[in-house]
Amino acid sequence: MPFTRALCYLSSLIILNACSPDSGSPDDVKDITDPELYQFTEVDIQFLKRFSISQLGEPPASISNKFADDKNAAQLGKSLFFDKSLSKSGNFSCATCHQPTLYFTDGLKRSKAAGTTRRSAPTVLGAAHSPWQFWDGRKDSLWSQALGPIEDVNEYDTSRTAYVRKVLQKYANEYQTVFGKIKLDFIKQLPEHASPAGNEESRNNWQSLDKKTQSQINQVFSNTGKAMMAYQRQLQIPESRFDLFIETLPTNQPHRLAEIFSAEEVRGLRLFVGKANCASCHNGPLFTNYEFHNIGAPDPQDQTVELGRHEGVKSLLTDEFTCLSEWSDAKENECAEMRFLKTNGTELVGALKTPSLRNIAVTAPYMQFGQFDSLKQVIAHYNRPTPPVYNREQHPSRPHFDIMPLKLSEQEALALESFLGTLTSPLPKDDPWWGL
Amino acid sequence: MKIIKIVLSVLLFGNYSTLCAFATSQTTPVNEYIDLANEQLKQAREVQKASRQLIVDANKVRKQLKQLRAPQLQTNNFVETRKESVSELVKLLELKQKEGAELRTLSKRLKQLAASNFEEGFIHRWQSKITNREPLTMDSEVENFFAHNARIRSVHKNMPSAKATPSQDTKERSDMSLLVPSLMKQNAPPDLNINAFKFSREEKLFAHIEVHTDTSTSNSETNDITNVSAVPLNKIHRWRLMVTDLSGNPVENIQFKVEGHMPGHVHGLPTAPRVTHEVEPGVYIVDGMKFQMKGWWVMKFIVESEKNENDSPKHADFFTFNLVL
Repeated sequence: MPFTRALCYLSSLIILNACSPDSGSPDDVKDITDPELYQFTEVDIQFLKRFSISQLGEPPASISNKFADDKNAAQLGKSLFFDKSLSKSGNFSCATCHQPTLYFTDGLKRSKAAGTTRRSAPTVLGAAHSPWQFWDGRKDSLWSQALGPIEDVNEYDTSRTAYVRKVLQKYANEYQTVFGKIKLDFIKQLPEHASPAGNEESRNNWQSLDKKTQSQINQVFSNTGKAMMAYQRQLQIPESRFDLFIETLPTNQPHRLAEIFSAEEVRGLRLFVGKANCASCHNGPLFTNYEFHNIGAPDPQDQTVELGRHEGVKSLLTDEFTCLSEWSDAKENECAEMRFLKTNGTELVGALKTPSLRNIAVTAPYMQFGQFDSLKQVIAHYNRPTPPVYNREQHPSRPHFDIMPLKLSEQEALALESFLGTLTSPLPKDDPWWGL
Repeated sequence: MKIIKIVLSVLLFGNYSTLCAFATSQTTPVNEYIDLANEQLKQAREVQKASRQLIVDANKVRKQLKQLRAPQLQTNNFVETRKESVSELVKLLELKQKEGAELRTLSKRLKQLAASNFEEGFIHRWQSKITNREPLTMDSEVENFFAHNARIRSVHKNMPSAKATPSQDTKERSDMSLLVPSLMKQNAPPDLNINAFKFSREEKLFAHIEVHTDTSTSNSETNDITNVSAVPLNKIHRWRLMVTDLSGNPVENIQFKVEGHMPGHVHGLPTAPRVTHEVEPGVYIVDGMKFQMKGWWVMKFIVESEKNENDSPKHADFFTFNLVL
């Protein structure tokens, strides 16, 4: 810290804003009942800066998708993302459950398309930064993730051949611009529905196809995923009030800070990184560490228990479209996460990926089954968590449990809740990628 | 017992003087370090044995005492002779306990000396191959804050007394007004052995760990490791595990099982690392290493030999390395 600035900081502890040339009149300052609340040290500011969206940077380079940063691929991906005609009924697209106006969520406990999905639809914002996809991390890339809903009976409910045929009929030029010329004839010979992952008829049809045709279909199918991944990598999160606050911190002008954050919100921020311990997992510009934890969100009575990551890794081992698959653009030794995948450990049982807290106040309900309708309920859970119930028939071992009772007062809980509201970004009406 | 103790003291004294001589000598042959280490190890075991015997004896005395005292409690007619024998037994018990504890400390000290002498011999032997002698750390630029760093533990109804409240865990720093939860090294004991050179549990093998910096065959993710004593945060990287027998000769074709965990956090490594190959006799590459947070980690390399198949896992020899990242 330069000497003059240090001096300024020290004196400002005594007389607010004494050194700031453009500090407001004493009348402005009078509104701040607790001036210390708005005092942040140099180290505080450096620490908090790590949460700013300005620190996010580009998504990590994709090793398994060489089209990840191709703009044409992203354009095609956007078309595929919003195109309802690619689902079996013609009524659903990715945007059905990932609605731009709802920050790419759907506001439902469990999502509804052809059927009702097992878990709630998480936002796709920031997903490009995560090494694992889905709540249980059962996919190791966004392109592989994008292929899941297409063949899911509760979502697109279509088959690999039907989807590939429609894509190539509708987007032949766009597809070939990105992925190169292909002979389109093969789609004419395909059965209506064929897939290794579908119903019995569909699976039988798939078996009847020769290896070369299967390979052609899988190539196009995986490329559509790569295009949708390229699209999702373009989605930017606009600055929220929180980011503005962080940006304004170095000015060290409490009255300016007070215009951005109320006293309660600052108290909430201090709790968030302090006593409430949220930042221990919800950290960095996206407020997530991308790891898997079991916070003991209650399992609904009528369902099988949540096995989380324990189940996710099992799926990864048999997944057709991982980094190690022939559809990946990576060499085998580059797929380190898959080669050294942890498949056992009590900490995997019931553990789910830490969700981002960006736009959290406007993306209710919460948790994988929408167990909580409001942030109040979420905070109440953290305040007095119930450990997961050990179901000896279903759990491979006693579920791990990762949280401690926060013991926040009612006022503190309210402050924390109001802080979370500052993480909401305005909807970027002019950003074409958002499709608003 | 006193005679044994005197003999051992003399032996030990002899070793100290030899050690001093080695420290000043520039041209010490490799084998002398290793021979000395072996000698110290042998003595340490003998002392340990003697120490255990003393503890066993002490327990016997304690039992005798208990028997003598039992009627006293019941009948309250304490006889003078008993009183005398009790006080003698108490003295004996104290003596045995004291001597046992002293010998245990001595044995521990001898083992430490053996390990550090063996380390010298090991280093002379492998010389150019060893790039780092220091205990492994994490890049100092990595702040402690961003890990699930607070006292996260498995808590269950069956474990109701769990730990302090989070508010007690926040730390006050003079340069911060934020009460960021304190963390990390909280559970590592201050005298923890974090050496990168260790005897195996059964003291039949000796090993050294270091970050593998050879980038010729590695993938892009490991290319940017420059600080050889520091492991990266949240990045998959490789280690070299170098193993010799007690003569200082490399041991080939060992099958290792790799385990890692954080004693303060009830979780393991986020990946499943394994020994992928042996680049030269006794030099094993451990790939898939990844640490998702700073703090106290324990890495265990378990020797899986064919002979051990019928043995319980408890009998398998292993190396334990403590890391305070």
